[in-house]
Amino acid sequence: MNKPSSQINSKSFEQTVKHEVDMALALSAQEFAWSRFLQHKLLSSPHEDPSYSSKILETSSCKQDGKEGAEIKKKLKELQKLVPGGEEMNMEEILSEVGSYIVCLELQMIVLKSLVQDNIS
Amino acid sequence: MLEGLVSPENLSLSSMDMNVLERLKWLQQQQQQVVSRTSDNSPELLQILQFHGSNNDELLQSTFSHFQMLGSGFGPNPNMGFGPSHEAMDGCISRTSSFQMDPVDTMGVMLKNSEENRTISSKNKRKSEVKRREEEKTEKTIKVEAETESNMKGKSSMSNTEASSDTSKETSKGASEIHKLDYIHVRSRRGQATDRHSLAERARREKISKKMKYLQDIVPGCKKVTGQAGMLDEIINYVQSLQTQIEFLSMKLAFLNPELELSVEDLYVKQLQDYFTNLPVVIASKPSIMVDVPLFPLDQQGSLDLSVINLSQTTSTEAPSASWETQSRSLYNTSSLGFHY
Repeated sequence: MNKPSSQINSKSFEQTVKHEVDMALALSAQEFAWSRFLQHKLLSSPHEDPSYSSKILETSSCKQDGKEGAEIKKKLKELQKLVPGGEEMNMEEILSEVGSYIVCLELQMIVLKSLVQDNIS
Repeated sequence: MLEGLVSPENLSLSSMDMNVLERLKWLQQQQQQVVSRTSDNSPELLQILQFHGSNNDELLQSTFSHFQMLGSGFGPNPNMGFGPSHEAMDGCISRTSSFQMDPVDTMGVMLKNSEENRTISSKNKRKSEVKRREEEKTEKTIKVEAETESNMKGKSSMSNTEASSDTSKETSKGASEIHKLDYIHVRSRRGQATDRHSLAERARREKISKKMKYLQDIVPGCKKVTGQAGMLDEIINYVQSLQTQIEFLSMKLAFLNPELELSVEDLYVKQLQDYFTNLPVVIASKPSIMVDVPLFPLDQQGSLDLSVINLSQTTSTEAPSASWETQSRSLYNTSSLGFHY
């Protein structure tokens, strides 16, 4: 997203809010690798999108044959893309990190929901 | 607030160590109840645990610190500081075992030798022989479980498991032994290879399956799916949905606020100017709100400048300032972002 140099538009404001939200997420659970990664990423390039992506995952509607190892690897790669810092983790690390990441995401959702509620009312 | 909210979560998910630790603490306090609540696997364990030894092996110093709470009659181990409560140990072992791994595995895990007690027990324990074993094993179980727990976080290195000299005997009976520090304790069953690589592989797989189990509890709807691939699918979808929801919510938040806030768009300029004529009043009446203004890159109009907006911030806000914690905390601590009238 290109932020105009001379003008702040709502888009960059959204980015800012998003940035802040992500930073809060990262700060809320600092003992995890994904949190540190997210923090670094946010601090270094403040107005880039973090590792979120809205694309829908194409689930394994493809082959379901005996090549389960390869399939699992493919899924793990997807997971790596989702979890911040996932590219540098191997399988075991990802599995341990993703649990904490999920819980923190849920927590963040609760907070955001309540914030939105407060703003609406 | 966010940190405070998260801390209980962290307790539960920071590591399985903590789960075990909490449980063990609880067990120490309520020994009797623990005994009554032990799982079905406990009878054998109980018998084993009757004979707590004075094994002073120290497999993992770091994880042992977690288990210093355990008062389970392990004798005078200076690092561990166990007290004499066998029942607590029983309960804790059985509970931890039921939590962590299959009973069979637990049994295998328990069948560890200490260097001191080689005379008493051979290195190769079999499930049937467990009952006859004395002392050593129990201590190893805790250490091993601690080890496996810490391993789940990937802390300790993935070291090889060593079969002892009676490997053939072990294989036939189905127990493998590890008796060195930092080793993964793996149980091999009858007919399975006990060479280094396959043991390591098996230990790795067990760790992974443990983690998958944990994820299954977290991700809703995962329990119905079988197989790792399906579960991974579910997990991926869940993470994605969470992320998109959060994105949506944050955009919604951003959308809601600029109407009250000072968004510097051409469309809103007039609004803004009107706003700023009233601003001194606002400042005077609600100074606290200024502090809670979110990070807001407004450096276009002079009147919007730092004196008004960034009272709480030291830097002009093109990029987030260093005081992230306070800012994000303030963001989440305020029920009303910005200026509400």
